[in-house]
Amino acid sequence: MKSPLLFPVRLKDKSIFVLDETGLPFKEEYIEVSGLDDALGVLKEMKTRSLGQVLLFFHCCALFGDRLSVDEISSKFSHQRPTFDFPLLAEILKAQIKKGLNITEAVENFINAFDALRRNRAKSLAKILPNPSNILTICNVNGELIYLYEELKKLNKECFFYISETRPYLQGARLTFWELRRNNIPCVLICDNQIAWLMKKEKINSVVSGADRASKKGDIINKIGTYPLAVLAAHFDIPFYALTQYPREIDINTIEIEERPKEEVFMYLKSDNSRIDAIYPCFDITPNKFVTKSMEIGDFSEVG
Amino acid sequence: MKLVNAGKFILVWGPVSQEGLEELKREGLPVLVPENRPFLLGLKHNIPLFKESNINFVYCTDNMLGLLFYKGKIKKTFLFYRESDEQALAGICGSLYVALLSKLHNVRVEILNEAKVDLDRLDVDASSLEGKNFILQENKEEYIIENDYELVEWGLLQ
Repeated sequence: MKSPLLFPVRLKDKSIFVLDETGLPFKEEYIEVSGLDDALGVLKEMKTRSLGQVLLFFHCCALFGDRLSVDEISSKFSHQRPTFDFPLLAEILKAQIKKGLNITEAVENFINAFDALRRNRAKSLAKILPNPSNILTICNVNGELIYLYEELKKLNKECFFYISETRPYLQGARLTFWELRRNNIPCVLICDNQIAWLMKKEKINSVVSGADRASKKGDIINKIGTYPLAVLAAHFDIPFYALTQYPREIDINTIEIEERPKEEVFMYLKSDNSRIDAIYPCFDITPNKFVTKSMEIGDFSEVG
Repeated sequence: MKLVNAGKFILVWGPVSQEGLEELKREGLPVLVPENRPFLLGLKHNIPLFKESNINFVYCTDNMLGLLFYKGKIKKTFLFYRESDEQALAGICGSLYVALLSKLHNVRVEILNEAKVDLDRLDVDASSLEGKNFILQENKEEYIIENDYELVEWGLLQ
């Protein structure tokens, strides 16, 4: 089983190749990034996100680290996507360099270790989930649901995914539904507003979501639409599992929630809606009281 | 509009009727218009009405409502429904989602009769937006859940 979303950004020679996630599922194309400005453009236009932006940052540090410091690159990335914790990535990289590795080795170490950590996390979650597992999910966690499915099958547990389409970028429909279906993993696609009805009908017995930011207390920030999943899951007594990375001692409510241009709310629509006023907060906040368990990928020492 | 600059809204769900328009005018607050997937009723039915009636509104997707409730941006919800009996009302897809989010955030829900809308002309499930498909599967019936109407028990609205 495989998905290009497991590693959507790759380094080859002196160029970075970024999977253009906005073209999926119809076009599987890679954008060649040969300068930092290209990388920032790709980031700003959300051609890549989630793990893709982590990989893009690390590869940029490896390629352009002789001209700019890791912190300067982190600052430029944060300017494009303010909610994501690029300073944390810079700290991870600097900790590796302090151990005597060069940037390229540090990046390679991180990537290799991170994939093993994701696999282990899927294994741990599979043990907790019931049989059958009827899992509601949102947005896209870069192939980790494929790992989860494989681990559930190893335990002879049945599994079915309900995928929230995740408007307006449709990451659920275009990415998650696509990567699960191409691996013949049983799933259905639903509208974001159908979650309460499906929970009430007892179709769903677990919710699994990614997390862009996490606090040590267990609060998370993730793709817009995650909070209602968690609140409604709590109401229906359904466990909510968050896949978190490197939780920090932070007050989650102080993190800036990125707001995208209003035009992007109408992305993928054919009609001209340029004169309609709209809001587009990109993420929402889920307090720890709604998170049953944070499936953490832990501390810096684990990545090298 | 940026959320940080926004005040309070009246949230509408379902096809807004003439009676609803009058009520919204009386409220005098800007109206929050979600998409109302899969049909895009917010875009196709409600916004044209608000434009005609000079009612101030802001558009958003359905999954943004959670954050708006969390931030205390919704003062009241207007839920437009098709029919009712002693136990429940039947509202368009997502009505339970909106009713529950309102209840869980202590936001009052007012119910009104919906306008008659021909849903057959619109998107009917999560596979498409304005007729354009976003999944590759041909036998999509296996992979999509259609759900035109949902029941909302009266107890949730009290």
